Amino acid sequence: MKKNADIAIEVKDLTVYYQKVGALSNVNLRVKEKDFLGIIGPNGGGKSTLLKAILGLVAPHSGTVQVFGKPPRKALGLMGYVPQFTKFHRDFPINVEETILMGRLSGKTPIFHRYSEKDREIVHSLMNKLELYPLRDRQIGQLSGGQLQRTLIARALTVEPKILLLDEPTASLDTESKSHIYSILKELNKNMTIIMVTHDMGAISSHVRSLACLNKKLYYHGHSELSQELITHLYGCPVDLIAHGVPHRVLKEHNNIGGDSHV
Amino acid sequence: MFKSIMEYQFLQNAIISAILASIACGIIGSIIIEKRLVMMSGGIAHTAFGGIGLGYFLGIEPIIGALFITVCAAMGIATIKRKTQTSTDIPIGIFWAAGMSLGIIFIALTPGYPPDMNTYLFGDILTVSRNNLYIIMLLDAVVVFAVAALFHPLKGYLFDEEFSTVIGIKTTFIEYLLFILIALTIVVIIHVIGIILIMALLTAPPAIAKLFTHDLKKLMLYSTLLNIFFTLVGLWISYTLNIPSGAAIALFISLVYAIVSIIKNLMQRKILHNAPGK
Repeated sequence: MKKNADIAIEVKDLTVYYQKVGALSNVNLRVKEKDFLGIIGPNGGGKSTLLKAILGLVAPHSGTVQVFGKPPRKALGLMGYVPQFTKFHRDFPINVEETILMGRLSGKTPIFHRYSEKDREIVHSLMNKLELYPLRDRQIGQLSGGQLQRTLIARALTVEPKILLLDEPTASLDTESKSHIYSILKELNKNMTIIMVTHDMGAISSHVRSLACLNKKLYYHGHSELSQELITHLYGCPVDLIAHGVPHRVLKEHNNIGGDSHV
Repeated sequence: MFKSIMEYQFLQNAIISAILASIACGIIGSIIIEKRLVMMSGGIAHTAFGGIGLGYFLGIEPIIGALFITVCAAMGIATIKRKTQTSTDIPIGIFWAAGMSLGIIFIALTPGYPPDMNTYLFGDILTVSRNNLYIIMLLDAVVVFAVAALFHPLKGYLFDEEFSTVIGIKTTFIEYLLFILIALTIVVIIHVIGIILIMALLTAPPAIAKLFTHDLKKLMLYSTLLNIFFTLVGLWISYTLNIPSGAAIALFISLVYAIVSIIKNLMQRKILHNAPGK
């Protein structure tokens, strides 16, 4: 056990089915503490499912997931979760501060609960850190994509987690917001493990430490250097990813930086 | 009318029940529109008719029958919602029809002259008895207590179920409880507005209130106040013009909702024009 002390997440032979359709099959993955793991792969390739299995939201058909040596449902306080925007309605009557405060709730929240001074202090310092304080009274539908994403990151951080899991945090953000989010994640990564599902190949090359390529099976897991070898590995991913187009176009552009933009 | 209120107990009962129904409706209605549960609530409401029929058939208070069946239906629909990953429209639609059919069959099987079901279908606030009033009061208290006691976790569940589950909130429990509260609310308002017209009182007031606030608590409060206004004015219209109360209330709500929607659209054009960001 001792030598596994620096392993944050250990996934062993994980298989998950959704109504008889296999979503993940035999996935083995080991994430070290303070790693920054990017999970890529085609839509429907099981990226979100893997995240959900780690969070304990879906039960494995077979295999195990361990978070710091515990089953996911016993490790709730260790994980902070940043879901996709599509998981909630943006017109919900809730402002930035209340959204972030929500992270302070837990299974032990008593009835007639009120947020404590400590809860508010934690939330205020996070709002300051993530430049959300002036927006604290805004209804979340009136935020820009980047502001909303920072709100969700702040909410995940109120749990004071050791691992941060993000599901496509930069989807549909402009370049400036994207780099802001990545700089925040980079800062956070000094103290915590980050696992990020993404389609953003640019991020893979410049921000992510290691990479997992997922299409029902785990096709690649290792360093995220944007080498010829990696590209070969990516092309080695099943056809879907190649047909997907967008990641590869970005990838090519990335390779051509400074060169001829002509195809 | 004011003199009559002092004189007649049935008018007093009507007013008290209108206010009580407004409270439950304001709270639960706000939740229903935010959690997009309008169809499911409609399904639960219509099964109440089966419960009314069961009440007559067994010779017990029809509202008790409705309470029993709607709570069962609520649990059933909550389970369907949990287990179905795709659309729940079809099972809900079937619940809807089956509930109504059960009511009609129970009534047909009940010996003797068939009772007048219009009271339950379209509401008749002037027939609320003292006993009904006590039941309504009790159910109202349960709804208010439950929502107040679990407000923060409930709000978490309403806003972002997945995140709430991740941080350990008992979302399954809250969901089942919420569906039971919807069932209780429906039973509370059957007399006021009737099974068929319930959705007007549950959805339109919070939809209007939402224009004035971005705070869930205030949304519930404003919806309640609007409900009180709608039901009392509706009651007055019905009393003065001698037309059925449920229809008077529902039509009045619909009319106000339509006017507000039109004004909102006009205002939005103006706001877009005038405000370059807050």
